[in-house]
Amino acid sequence: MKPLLITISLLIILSGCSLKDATIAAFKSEPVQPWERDILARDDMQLEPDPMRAFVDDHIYFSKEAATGGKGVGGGGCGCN
Amino acid sequence: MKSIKDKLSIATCTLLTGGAHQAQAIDNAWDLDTSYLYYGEADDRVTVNKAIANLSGDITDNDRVTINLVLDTMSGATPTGAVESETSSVTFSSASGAGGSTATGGAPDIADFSDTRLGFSLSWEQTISRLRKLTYGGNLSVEKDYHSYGANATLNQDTEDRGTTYTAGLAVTYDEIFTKTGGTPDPLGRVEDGVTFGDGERYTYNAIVGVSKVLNKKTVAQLNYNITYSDGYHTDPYKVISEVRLVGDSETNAFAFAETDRYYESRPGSRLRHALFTSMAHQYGEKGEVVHLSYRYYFDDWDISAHTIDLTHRTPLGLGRYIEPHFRFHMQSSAEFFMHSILDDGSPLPEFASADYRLDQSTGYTIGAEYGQPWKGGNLRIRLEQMEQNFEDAEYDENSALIFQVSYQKLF
Repeated sequence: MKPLLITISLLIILSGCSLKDATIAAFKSEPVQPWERDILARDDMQLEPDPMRAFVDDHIYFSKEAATGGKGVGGGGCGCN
Repeated sequence: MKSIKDKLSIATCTLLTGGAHQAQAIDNAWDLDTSYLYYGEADDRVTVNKAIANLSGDITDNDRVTINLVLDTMSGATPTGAVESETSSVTFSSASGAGGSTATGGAPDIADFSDTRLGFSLSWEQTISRLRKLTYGGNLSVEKDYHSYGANATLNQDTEDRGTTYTAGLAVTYDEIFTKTGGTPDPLGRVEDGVTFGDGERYTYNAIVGVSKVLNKKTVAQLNYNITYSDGYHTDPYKVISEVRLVGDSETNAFAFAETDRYYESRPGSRLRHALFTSMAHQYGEKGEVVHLSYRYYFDDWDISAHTIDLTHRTPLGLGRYIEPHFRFHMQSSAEFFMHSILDDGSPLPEFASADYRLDQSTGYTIGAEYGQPWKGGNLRIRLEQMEQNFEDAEYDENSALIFQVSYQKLF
């Protein structure tokens, strides 16, 4: 397992994650005109950018943890918890 | 002059025809997303293979349907809640005592199982007006020892400038719970006695209110409050709890558990859960990197509270390719009735008791990455992650799992 964790950690570093810059700019509130929403319309800017991944994760963590919910209502139940 | 007029007419007709054609193409766009998941726990514990197909499309200008199909196959071994005891005096019957639908034995404290789940859901999104959408749907899930039926509705209302969206949703779920051999065991009844009752039933009512807001040209954020009340059978019919005596070794000064009896677990007949969830998406940088960050605070009347943080960071690599590392952290307190085992000291049994490790105090994290790229006219995504969990008092105090998912989405 260790080589996998090291590889993944390296991927994070190499991806150039600059969270400090992102945090400072992120919460600046300003009005946005309809013609200024090109970035907001991108698939990767949706609050749930990959519903398939979210669907799978919800099932995994529902099965392995006591906490659940917060994103929406509905969805199939299962006997895994 | 006539020639110019004719040409203009032809050009106008061409534009109108082209426009109508394009609009029709968008209206009829169908989106097929398929996925395969491998979830494998270390030490030959649980393995899940999951196949998912999600089809959505516009059937009219104002109606969009989504159909979701899921097939899970689950196998492996899972802790029953019993202690590892070499001096156990309990006669164990794996078929009735543990782990799932086709339990075939295994060590007394861990049981083999296998099961298959088929899930189906249908949702219908109606555009009521330019600023209002109503989505309602139903879902069905069937396993050999579990049936679940649900219905839900969600209303989304945009403000006039479409900078803010308010959400309200309701759902109700009815579950039937039973063992492979039928019925459910007597809560806190002795495993050796094997007393069973009828099937378990549970109704779950779920409500959500939320708001999402465009903060600026590169940031959108969301805040939700979710309340869930469930009434009925909450006990896991396969989980047990050991009654133990402490056996000391005077030479090493160490203690071990000696199991003297074993009971089926028992949980309260209702549960009230609350979740406060916030998330944001922000784009920055020359490459157009996107960071997604979410936090959830959860608490319920079983005395469990939990904090969950989820972070992804997507870096475009050009030509539609991207790499997206992911980190998730979760910590929770234990349920008030969680206990490692029941001490055999002559005291009466508690009203509720469970040794299910998932109700124990724990911390866990997941780390991994997803890679995506266009492929054959669609989008291919592959992710690999490692999940680690540590439990405070449970007999099995660690869980490691590998998560591999490959997904392919295509519009047609």
